[in-house]
Amino acid sequence: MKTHSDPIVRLENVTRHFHQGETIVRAVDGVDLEVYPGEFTVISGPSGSGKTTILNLIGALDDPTEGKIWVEGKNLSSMSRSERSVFRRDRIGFVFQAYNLIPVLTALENAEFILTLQGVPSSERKERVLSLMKEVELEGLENRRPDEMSGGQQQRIAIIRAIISNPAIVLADEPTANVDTATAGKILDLMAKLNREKNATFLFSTHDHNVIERASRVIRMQDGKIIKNDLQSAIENSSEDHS
Amino acid sequence: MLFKMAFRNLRKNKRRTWITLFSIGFGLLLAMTFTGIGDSGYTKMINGAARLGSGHLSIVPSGYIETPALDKTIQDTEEKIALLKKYDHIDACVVRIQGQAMVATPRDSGGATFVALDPGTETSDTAYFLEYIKEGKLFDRDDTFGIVIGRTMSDRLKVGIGEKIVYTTTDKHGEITSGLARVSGIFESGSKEVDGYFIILPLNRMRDLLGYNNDEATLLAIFLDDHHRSEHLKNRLQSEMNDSSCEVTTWRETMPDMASFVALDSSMNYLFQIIIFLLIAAGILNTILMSVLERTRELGIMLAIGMSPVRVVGLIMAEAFWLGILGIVSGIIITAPLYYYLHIFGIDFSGLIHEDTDVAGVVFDSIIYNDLRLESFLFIITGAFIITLLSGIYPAWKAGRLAPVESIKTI
Ligand SMILES: Nc1ncnc2c1ncn2[C@@H]1O[C@H](COP(=O)(O)OP(=O)(O)OP(=O)(O)O)[C@@H](O)[C@H]1O
Ligand SMILES: [Mg+2]
Repeated sequence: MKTHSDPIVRLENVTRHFHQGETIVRAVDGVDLEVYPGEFTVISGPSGSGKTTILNLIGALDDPTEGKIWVEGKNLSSMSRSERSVFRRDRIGFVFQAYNLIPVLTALENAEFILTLQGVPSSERKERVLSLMKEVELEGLENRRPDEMSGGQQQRIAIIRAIISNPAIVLADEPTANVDTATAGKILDLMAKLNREKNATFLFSTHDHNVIERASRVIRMQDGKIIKNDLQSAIENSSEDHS
Repeated sequence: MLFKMAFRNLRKNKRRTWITLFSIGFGLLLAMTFTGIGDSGYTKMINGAARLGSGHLSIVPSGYIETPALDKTIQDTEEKIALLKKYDHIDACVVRIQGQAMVATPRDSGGATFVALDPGTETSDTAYFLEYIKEGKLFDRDDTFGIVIGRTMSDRLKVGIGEKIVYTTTDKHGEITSGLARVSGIFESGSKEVDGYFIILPLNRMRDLLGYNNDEATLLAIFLDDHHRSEHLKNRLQSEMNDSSCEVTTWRETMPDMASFVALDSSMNYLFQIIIFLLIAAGILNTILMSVLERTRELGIMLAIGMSPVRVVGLIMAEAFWLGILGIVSGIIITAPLYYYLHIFGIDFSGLIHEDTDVAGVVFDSIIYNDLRLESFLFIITGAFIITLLSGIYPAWKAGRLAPVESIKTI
């Protein structure tokens, strides 16, 4: 794909091998990939095709066996353990498949968690979280504990937590896998809205066809390789706008 | 935030937290009870020893402890007493002459240890025997012929109140000298050693007999409000008195048997407590480790989204901190009623303790009280707190080192 802006994420010939006994599993096998600001990209592919592995690599949770990864121009392999921790806190938003939230914290406290780690004052945290919760129609949940919320509500709070500190990119690994279709739709609505209105960049994996349809770009993986990398019609209002 | 989260984690796991708090509390109960009983018992015995012998501190002629003899004396006793009265924590100080004598009646004779004291200055607070006078009384100040002896000796010499005893000793110049006395009182402490060998004589009468002047004696016995201050005060007195003809000793030196009994018994007590605390530490470690292991995913997510490993360690340490604090509170709550009972009423073990059990002549009190010193209490409390924190270190370290990718896979 061609664009004029610098990519947020760049992978160059990235490979990740796992040793499983005698055999070597090529979870990610020579992948080149760029993600641009404002994109709403989905990684799809069969189970075991390497989706989670690639997201973990981009999020500096894992190291490639070969190849290089840059996020906002920074080479991840040059970072120390503590630099990575700060990098993940400040530049990456994470949404996992399920049970994302910290059980002993309320929805509000979970949503503002990253801001708390960053040392943002409590009043500002609260203001930012509550206004976002209101915008995305989650107001009224702020004092609920995770076990007092539905799976969909929990996922949406997790998305707010991921987006609240304005990270470079939100990485979401099958964010809708554990919910029904209607709830998945709501989660997608939220992500799309944040993508549209806040220009947040999303890269997420899924099996779900309904979800794939809504992405601006679809990357298909199989056996650790990208076999298809297609822009969809929705692209017009994402990457092109911000060149 | 860490402390808030840590507290909520403990509250979330109510049952496990209660069990842990109870075990810390129970450990504190044992520690405070046994230490308190020890504190009370040792204090009683040490005070008894001090009253039986030479005070918590004594001022004696140089070299007297190694080889006591009646020709070694201290001078200017009144002046010294006046000086001592200026110190805090000194309850009383009395002048004594102590030595060996032969006692004889027409029927029998034997050896004795005499304690010559001034009946005007001494009470049962300074002289052990006076507490146990069962027959007659202590001689008056102007009664130069009085003597108080123990029951065992009175039986052996076959003398009763008002009957005569002759005692013989060597005077300051090494000459044999003897005096005549009438039994004015008989004490019965329960210790055969004490009741069979100690005799009490009037101080001024002995000064005359031994050729001492009116300001001369072998010993100043000093009684403190708290025997724990002995060493400290000894050093102060030693340097402030600045008199090379005499030295200051503590009850440990004058009563070495008692000192070694207390040392042995209290080290057994310590050992016992260390074992209890180790068991409790193992329990706390297990609790915290379990709670870390079952929260692997949660902790992994925290690490993944950018909580630093140091903070994750801090989170677990904060849980240990709360367990320590709450454990101490529960320990105090559990211990308080028992402590109150043992402090006020005590438990009577007279059925179990043989009548004549004594250490260095001081008879065991058959009623056991709990009288925990503030220092011991603070020591136990801080010890328990530190042990709880130490037990948290390994689980906390483990939590900080979790690999986020692996942890997130676990559910
Ligand atoms: N820690 C690991 N050790 C060994 N093999 C691993 C490890 N993690 C992943 N793999 C292997 O790497 C391959 C890719 O796994 P990955 O989790 O990325 O797939 P995925 O596309 O996310 O699958 P799914 O849709 O089931 O989540 C799989 O064959 C998997 O078994
Ligand atoms: Mg996966």
